[in-house]
Amino acid sequence: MNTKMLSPREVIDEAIRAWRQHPDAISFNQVEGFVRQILGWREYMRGVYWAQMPEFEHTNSLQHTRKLPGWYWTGDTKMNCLSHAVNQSLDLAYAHHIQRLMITGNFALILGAHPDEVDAWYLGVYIDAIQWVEITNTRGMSQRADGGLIATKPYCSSANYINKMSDYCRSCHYDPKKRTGERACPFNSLYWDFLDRHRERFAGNFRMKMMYRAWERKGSEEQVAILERAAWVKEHVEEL
Amino acid sequence: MPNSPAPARLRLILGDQLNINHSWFRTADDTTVYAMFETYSEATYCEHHVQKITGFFLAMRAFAEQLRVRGHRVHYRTLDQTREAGLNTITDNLSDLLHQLGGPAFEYQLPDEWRLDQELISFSENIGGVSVDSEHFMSDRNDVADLFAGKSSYLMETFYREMRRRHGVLMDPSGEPETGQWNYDQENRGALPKEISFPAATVFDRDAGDIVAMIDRHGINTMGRMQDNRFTYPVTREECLEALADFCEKSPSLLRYLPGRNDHAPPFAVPRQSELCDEHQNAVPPGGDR
Ligand SMILES: Cc1cc2nc3c(=O)[nH]c(=O)nc-3n(C[C@H](O)[C@H](O)[C@H](O)COP(=O)(O)OP(=O)(O)OC[C@H]3O[C@@H](n4cnc5c(N)ncnc54)[C@H](O)[C@@H]3O)c2cc1C
Ligand code: SF4
Repeated sequence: MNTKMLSPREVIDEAIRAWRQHPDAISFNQVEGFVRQILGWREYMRGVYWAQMPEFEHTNSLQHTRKLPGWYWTGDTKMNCLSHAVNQSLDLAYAHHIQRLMITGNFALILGAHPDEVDAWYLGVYIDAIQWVEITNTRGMSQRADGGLIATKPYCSSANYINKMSDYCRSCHYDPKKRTGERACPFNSLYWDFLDRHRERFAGNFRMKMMYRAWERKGSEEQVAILERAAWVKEHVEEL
Repeated sequence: MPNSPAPARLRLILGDQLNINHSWFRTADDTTVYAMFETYSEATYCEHHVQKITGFFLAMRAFAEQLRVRGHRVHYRTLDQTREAGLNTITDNLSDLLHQLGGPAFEYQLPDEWRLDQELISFSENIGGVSVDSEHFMSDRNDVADLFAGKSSYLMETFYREMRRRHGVLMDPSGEPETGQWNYDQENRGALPKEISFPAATVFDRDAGDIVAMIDRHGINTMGRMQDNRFTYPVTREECLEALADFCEKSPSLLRYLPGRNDHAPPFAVPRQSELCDEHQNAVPPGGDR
């Protein structure tokens, strides 16, 4: 569709036709979800692009400054989920939405990578990447550089989410349950570090209250240990 | 073009404007020349995946061929040709070609990229060019801006409902959503069945060695890999339609589980899709704010 060889209308119509033909095999909520991505998200992102450019290209509301690690270009990392998502992206020039948002995007976000860096990677790596749909998803939805125009809360998560949703963690070098120590999954300390760094901005966010309460409950000793681990992770990000 | 009449107009087609159903192409007219350029600027505005550049060039070439078969006049320049001529941008090539053709009128489709939009606006202003819609999207460029004028956050759901109504998609005759409900996020949050298999994607295997050699020849940096220089995404509308039909035909059971799923989609290794056309032959779970 992004090269316009297919029109959104015909893709939607085909899916609806398939649903009407096989109502037993496809449920309404499934076809609605599909239509929502194309008639909703895709058109919406294009509208956001024209409403916000050229300023959008320079947004960095979280003031992130780090470089994206070199292994985004090689896939060479011991983190199993990232190794898969990055290697697949390099091999196929494609990854599905959850890989983009919750693996590579999430890691870049909680690491604190500069949105320019993240943008350049996403604009290059995917075969469907044209700026109007890449930048709105990357800077807006994923990196929240737009200050919350598109998403009500940042898409950040710890290993908990990835472990629940996939089987990557089972064969990973890192331990998804650990927050500190050499084998602790880097997502965990970075996640809390991210929340701690941006407390002022997010603590009042209704959808994030629970997370901040969990952070408070940890107590200062554990908090310090987690933040120290996060500092180590950031320092050694190329070797993860 | 020795036997062709002097062209009255030149129309530019960008690499992401391969819409054969555009009203431009309804009738063939030998006083209209269609221009397509493979340029250094487009291949290098960022470090692209090697398959991305390859896919665009292959699809552009196939599209030019399709136009010719339908009787249109096409002026196509490969990257070798634009580099040879030292014409590195779209507008460099346009100036050159307009001059060569004796200054015909200039028309272009509105680009979907801000950078090119600016470049073409200023280029076109100087020569009295005319822009037309690309006839692809179901909303206008400014619809979101208008809908949310003055708001500090843009709610996708508001826009989506407006689009459903405007286009009568899954709506009943009284103007209500077909099943009385707009949003199925809850239903779409169920767990995936343990045993789920993804049907293989439709693959269109072709050798892309020549394109890769050309990219290398011009010192263009790329990222990513392409095994044995085999390019496997669809590059023509016919191939895209085949992949779309395949997806809808073979995957009803998959559609049932995957599209529209919310945060709970698995980041497992998912089979590849035909992404150049984006037609999801293996519906993969969208996620996020859905
Ligand atoms: C950081 C990041 C970067 C992204 N970059 C791009 C990009 O460069 N190009 C691109 O097309 N999509 C991009 N997306 C959106 C989305 O991930 C892809 O469109 C999706 O992975 C395509 O897979 P699919 O065809 O299986 O989509 P499905 O989930 O099956 O959805 C069907 C179609 O709906 C459209 N769609 C779905 N989600 C979105 C969305 N969030 N925004 C716009 N359209 C959507 C696509 O055309 C897609 O093909 C990005 C998402 C993230 C989080
Ligand atoms: S343990 Fe951490 S790094 Fe390893 S797969 Fe799980 S989430 Fe990814």
